[in-house]
Order: sequence, then structure tokens, then C-alpha cells
Amino acid sequence: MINVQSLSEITLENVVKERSFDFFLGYLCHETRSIYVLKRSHEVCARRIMLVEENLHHLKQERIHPAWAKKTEQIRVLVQDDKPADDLLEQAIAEKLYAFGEENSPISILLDVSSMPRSIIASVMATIEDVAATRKIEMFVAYCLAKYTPPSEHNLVNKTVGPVHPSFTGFSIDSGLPVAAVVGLGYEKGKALGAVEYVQSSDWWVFVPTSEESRYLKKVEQHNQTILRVVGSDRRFEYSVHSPLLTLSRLESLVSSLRSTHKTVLLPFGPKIFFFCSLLVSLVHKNCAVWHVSGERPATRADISPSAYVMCLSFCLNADSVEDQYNAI
Amino acid sequence: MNNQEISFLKAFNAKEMPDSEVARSFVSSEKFSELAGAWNALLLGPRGSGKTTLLKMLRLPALRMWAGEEAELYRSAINFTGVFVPADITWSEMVEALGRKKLPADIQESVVQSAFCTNVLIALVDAFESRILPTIGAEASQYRCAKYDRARLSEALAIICSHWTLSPRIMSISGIKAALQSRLLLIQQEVTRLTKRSVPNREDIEQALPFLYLHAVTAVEVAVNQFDAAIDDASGKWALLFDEFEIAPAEMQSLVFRRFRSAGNKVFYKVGLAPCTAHTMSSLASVSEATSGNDYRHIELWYSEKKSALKFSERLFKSIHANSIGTQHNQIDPIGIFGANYFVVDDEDEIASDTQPYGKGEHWKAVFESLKEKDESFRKFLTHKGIDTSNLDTAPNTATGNTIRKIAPLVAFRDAFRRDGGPNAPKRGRKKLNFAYSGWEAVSAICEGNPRWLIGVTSMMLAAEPLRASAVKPSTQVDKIKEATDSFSSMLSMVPTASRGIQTKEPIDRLLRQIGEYFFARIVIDDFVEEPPLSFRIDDKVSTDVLAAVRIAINHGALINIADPDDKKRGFDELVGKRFRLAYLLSPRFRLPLRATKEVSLTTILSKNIASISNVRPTLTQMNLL
Repeated sequence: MINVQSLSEITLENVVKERSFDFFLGYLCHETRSIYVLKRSHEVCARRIMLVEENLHHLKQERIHPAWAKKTEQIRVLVQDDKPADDLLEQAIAEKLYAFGEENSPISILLDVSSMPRSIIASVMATIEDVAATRKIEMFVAYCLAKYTPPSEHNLVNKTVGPVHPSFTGFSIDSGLPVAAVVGLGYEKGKALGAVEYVQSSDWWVFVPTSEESRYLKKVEQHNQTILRVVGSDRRFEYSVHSPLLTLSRLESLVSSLRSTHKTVLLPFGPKIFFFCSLLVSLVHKNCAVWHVSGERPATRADISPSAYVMCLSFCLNADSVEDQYNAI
Repeated sequence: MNNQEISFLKAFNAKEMPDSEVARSFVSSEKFSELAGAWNALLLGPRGSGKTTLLKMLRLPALRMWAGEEAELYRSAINFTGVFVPADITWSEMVEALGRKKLPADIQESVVQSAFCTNVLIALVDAFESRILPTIGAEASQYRCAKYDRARLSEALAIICSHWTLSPRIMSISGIKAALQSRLLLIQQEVTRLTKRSVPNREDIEQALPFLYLHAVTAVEVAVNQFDAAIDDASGKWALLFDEFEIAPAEMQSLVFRRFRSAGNKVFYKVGLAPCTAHTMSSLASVSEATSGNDYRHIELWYSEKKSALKFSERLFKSIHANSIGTQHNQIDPIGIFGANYFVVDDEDEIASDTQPYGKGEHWKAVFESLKEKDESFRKFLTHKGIDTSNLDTAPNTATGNTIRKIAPLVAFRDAFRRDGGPNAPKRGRKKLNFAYSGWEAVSAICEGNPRWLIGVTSMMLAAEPLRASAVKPSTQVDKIKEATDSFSSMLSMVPTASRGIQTKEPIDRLLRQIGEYFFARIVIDDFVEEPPLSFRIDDKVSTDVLAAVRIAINHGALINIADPDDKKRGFDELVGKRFRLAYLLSPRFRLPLRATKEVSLTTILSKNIASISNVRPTLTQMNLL
């Protein structure tokens, strides 16, 4: 069992000013946002590791932020159906973490999830969870809010719908329990509604993102009219993307309350910070699953520019003592 | 009627319902009779078609709770104890993920198999309990409640536990259930522990999970023999009721299907399945081969014709509505509540046998004349057939009577959806369109005899009207049907292109859109014809990708098979030659009538450029028309 402790919310400025890190873990891609946190934190990170999608390497290297790419080590990730195609990413990260410093000494990681695909965030967190079984991990997670871009008008094809990673499938000893869907709304039309129906959930709760970018909320409400109309006010939570700790606390309370009555499936569409909160909740509540829709991506991807807002969440991961594990069983 | 907010999505899902709720509104049908006999049965149906309800109703607590008029008849006929094995996609994903990517494939398969086996045994233990304990407060609380000797039962349970490699803390039924649940937890925790930093070998797993090779089917068969001997019912029969069996491991599927070969067993197998999944298709093929002449039933939970669905829908609606307002079934009149819809005629087509289905009134004259005014091809058709719109006589003894009766609904439909000024002319008011999708016959047709849809749609409609209203306005009906169509379409757009062993590059929603938009174009945009196509047959030019997409659409209830009378080949392992229509729940989306007339080949549909159709009517705005 993994403990998540010492949760707190901090600003990137304070993070960078007040401390240093053993690792920076980010995702290098065409988005300008992908290097925003790196630019502001590289000096305080001993090793800077950027994950790079293997498929992107047919692009000329210099097109992917060459100056910043040079300042980092890179791990190539072969992506298939929107997911890592193999375990090599996890093995590579695990090797680097296990090899770092003295055995059993804590490791501090600044993880930038801003441009990282969800399935890769899940792989990274699954690996970190494994490492945390033997070494304490101090995590600082940064999320840079993007400048508003309108949603795609194209309906992208869903190849698979299911748990985002084998470590986040949840588990229940009662197969007959009803399914509860906890949905983070995004601005894709009908996606949340379709997902709720797809998992045949008997109860559902929605988390509606709010932020400084009001156009986003408007689109979220417009594209989720049906689900918002039928969900009761007691099952609708508005969360600010600027307050991940509060969001996490609400989500954790809800999942905790469903523990003995439902098989809980988290469907975190919308901002990635909500997705990350969902993973964290699933790490603690092993009965609940985090699901993901993976599919084809558009042939051309628009740049996503960073906004001025960066949210940070810090916490520690470590394993229970052996005695605690047996008590939990 | 009440003002409670109800959603199509949430309306009715038997998976989560207690026995009392499932039994309260249950309505038997021919399909249930076929399922309830002392034989093995395959229950095929898409999602939400009522498989879970039918299977759950064969459990003792549900049969005891059932107070319907035919309940006693069924109770006296059923001579087995039903063991309902619940499963759903969420639980299946949980189990299949055990050790995935971290264990060698063969070991991982054994682990998954073991978790499924434990789930079956938990269900069996529940059934043991209901076999010896009455259901308090039920209509027939003592039905098949066996008397037993405590010591003999305890001895039998000990033997069962020994066979199952189980050591419960207390030797009782509840003690065994707790031990089985702990076993599930142990499987999960040991696999997680052993795969944390290294790849465990088979010995490590076998040592941690000594029950790994216990097979569900043999474990059940041994246990029921011991149990029945203890309650002095050595000839007792049991039925394993597998819900969503397509998600069970392939090995378990083939083991169960192999049991179909032998008749006269102590244990029957009744399995609910999606019509087409990779395992199902191969397993079904082996069953058909092996059991021709043996006693198993093949039950399909869909209605290709409206009239058979209508009968069941009426009984179901009367039951649920009578229960919700506390009155007698025979006091409920669906047509009184929803009105009638004379446009919804039977598909193959019984119009000819009805001499005056639409009468001779002014309304028809208005519809024919309206279309005549704006549609040149219709004017030519009328001239060619010698039909005078000022004197529409539908009597069969007139020269044009049969034709008029046949085309009347299509004329009304074409008139309503065809705009005077061409495709880009302003949209019509909604009032004119209410005729197509309101009225009891339309509601029933759209719900396809699917209990979940019917309960969902009618509940939404009734809830949307004021508390004391005795009828549902057509506009409310259309609004709620639109909402249901919207939810269904959203779900279909989420359906993955890789699912349960079926893979395709053809997006399901795009395929459905191509079919729907083709039919719309043929009815409304292209030149008027007496019988435009509204169904399709799969021909041998259809690609494997499209065939796979068709299979996924069938599994989700989006395509309905129209079986030919001489088609003896059941199942969908071979699709070529089979005829289908779109589910009527999609008709409002594509603005199609609720009919499945003439057929066209799927290749003909797919060869029509979807872009050209979409340009005529942008898909995004389609729903707004309603």
C-alpha cells in the first residue's frame, strides 16, 4: 500500500526559489507549453529528463524546441493508439530512479504534466508508485494552463475505451456492485455522456472545471448540456483548475464515500490537472479505476501556448510498513 | 406524472437493482418462457436488451418476490435453483488487468481464470443460502426453500471447502462467502506484490495462490452434488446464469459451451451474450456443431418487426406505470396517454390488408397537395400513376387505392422534411414534425421492445409533464425521444473500434451515419419513388473492416437483424447475406420513418459519397430540426 502524505499547493515561483530537485520529468513536443515549466525550473533540477514521442522523430529534430532539447536527457516513447506501445518507458524511468543516489535515500521529482499525454502520465505515475515501494519520493507536480483554443470540430475515432493503465484499473471483491461514474467534464461534445453510457453506470457525479478562461467553461456547458441537465445539484461539483488541492480533497471524499457501495470509475476528461488528481485518488483508493479514451489524433496538431497560470501540487509517496500491509488485508 | 428529473441513461439498469425491484415490474414474455425451461440456453442480445433482467428473474429470491399474474405458473414449472453470476465491463477490466504486462501470458491467463472462478463460487454460495432460507416479505417466501439438517449441511460444506482449497474461519455459508471474497483480495494483492520489481515465475504464483487451477465448472458440479445430498434432494437441478458471458475468459467460455453437448445434466447453463464477439462467435460455432439435435435453446432478444415488440411493450408499460401510480394494469391505456400514431405501419407491409388505414380525410389531401406543389418528381409520379390528389380514394377496389395507401406515410414524411426552397431553405416548425415520432406506436417502435429503453423513454416523458396530467403532449414526447437519441448517439460515438476481439478501422458512428444519411437522401432528397430503401443486405463486396464495424454496431443495438424466413443459420459468424435495419432510436437523428421497407446492398450505400450527402444537410444541425 502506498501512502500519499504532506499534500500542499504551492506556486511555481516558490518551488523554484525554495528548493532543488533530483529530477525534472516533462514531455517534449510541438507545444510551446511543453517547455514553459522547464524554462523556469531547469536550474534547480539535477537531471532533466524529457519524454519524446518516437513517432515524432520523423520531424526534424530542430523543430522540437532544439535549444531546450539540448539541455535535457531524452527518453523516447513509442506510442501506439495513444498509449505507450511497450514497457520500455517504464523500465527506463525506473532504471534512472533506482540508480539515483544512495539506495533507500529519498528522491525528489518535479513532474510537468502540462503537455504530457494522459496515458504517459499514468505510466510515469505507475512507475513512481513502484519505486515508492522501496524509496520515499517527494513529488512536485506542475500544470501550466493552456491559452484557450476552441475544441476540434472533427469527431476523433475512439480506438479503445478502458482503464488508462493496468495499475489504475481498480479492484472489487463484489462483481455485482453497481458502477459509479465520476466524470470530469471537458469541452468535447457528448464525450462525457457517451462514456457514462458506455460503462453502464448506475450513478454518476460530474466535476465542472472553472478557471480564469471563461470561454472554456462556456464550451464545457454547451457541449455537456444533456448530462448537466439531468445531474442533480448535489452531484455537480464545480472545481477551479487553480486549486488542485481543493479539487483533490473533494474527489477523494467522494470516492471514499462510494467505496463500499459501488465499483467506482473515474472518467477524467477536461484539464489534465483533474486527470492527475484522479490518478492520485486511485493510488490511494485501489478499488477505483481511472478510465481513458484513446484514439486517433488529428494529422496536424495546433500549437498550444501556455497561459500565465501554473498550478503546483506537492506530496510524498512512500510505502506502508509490512505490518500495515497485513492490517490492510 | 411527477416532476422528478429522470434521464434515459439512468432509467433502468437491472444490474444494480435488488430482486424486489426487478421482480416488481417484471413482465414475462415468450423469450422468458424459452429461457426458463430445464435446458441449456443461449440468450443473445445487445446491450440493454434485458438479458440481465431475464437471468436475474430465475434466481430464487426474484421468483419469490414476483407477484405478477403468471408468477405462480412459472414457480410451479421451474424446478431448478438459479445461480446468477454477475459481471460487467468494469469488473472484467479489473480482473483482466491482474498482472497484465507483468506476468507471462499463460500465468496471467490462469490468474484471470482463477478470479472468474472465485466470482462464480461466490454466486453459488449466495444461491445455497437462498435454497435453505426463505425470502422475508416475498409473495412466495417459502418457494423451493429446503429443510435441512444442520450437522449434515456443515459436513457437506466442509467437503466443498476441502475441494475448493478453502479454509473459512467459520464453517457456514456466510463464512465460506467471506473466505471467497478474501480469496479475490488475495489474488489481487499477491499478484501486485509479486510483480512489483521482478517477473515472478509460475512456481512463485502457484505457491502464493494454491487454488490457481480450480476450475469453475467442476468446482460447481462437485459442490451442488454435496449440497443436494445434504438437503435430501439428490436429484436437484441447478442453473448457472452467466451475465455478459462474452467477458469471461475464453477458456471458461469453451468449457461451458462444451457442457452444452450433454443433455440431462444436474447443472444447466444459461448464458447471456452479446450477439457478436470473437470468442462468442467461435464458441457458438462449436456449440451449433456439437449440439444439433440436443436440447438447448437459442433465444434472440430483439424484434425485427414492430408488431411483436408492440405487444411486449404494451404489457411492460402497463406493468411499470400501474406500479408507479398504484393502480391495476388493466386501467392503463398507453394510447390514452401517448395518443396514436397511424404512420407507424408494419414493415412488410400489412397496409394492403387494411382497407382504409388512413381514411379519406382532408388531412391526406393537404399532405399530398403540399408535396405536389414543391416536388416535381412527385408530380410526375402522380401523373404516371394517374392519382388525383383532389380525390384520394384508398379503397382497394379502386385503381390507385393500394398505391395511395402504400405511399401515404412516405408522402407525409417527405412533405414534412422537404423544404420548399431546397436544402438550404429555413427549417420547418416543429409542430409538423411531431407526427413522426410521437404516439404510442412510435414510442414502442423506437424502443424496439428493449425494456431499458422503454422504461427510460417513458419515464422521462411522464416525469416531464405536470403532476396531475393524464397524457403526455406530442411535443414532450418528441423532446424526450430526441434526448434519448442524443444519449444513444453519444454512446455510439464513444464505442471503440477495438472491442472484445473485434477490430476495425471503420469508425462505428461514421458507418451508421453513412447508412442513415443514404436512406434520408433516398426518401427526401432524391426523386420520389414508391418504395425507397430503408434496410440493407450485406453483400460479399463489403470489406472486413466494415463487417467488423457492423458486428460492433449489432452488439450495441444500433443495427437490427431482419431474419429471412428461410435463413436457418443463426448467429453472426457469417454476415454476408444477412439483412439489417438501423435501430429506430436512430431514426430521429437521421430523420427517417419508423419503417424497414425495401432493401439495398450495403456496398451501394457505402459507395455513395457521404461528403456529398453531408453537404446537403450538415450533420451537426440535424438534431435541431426536432
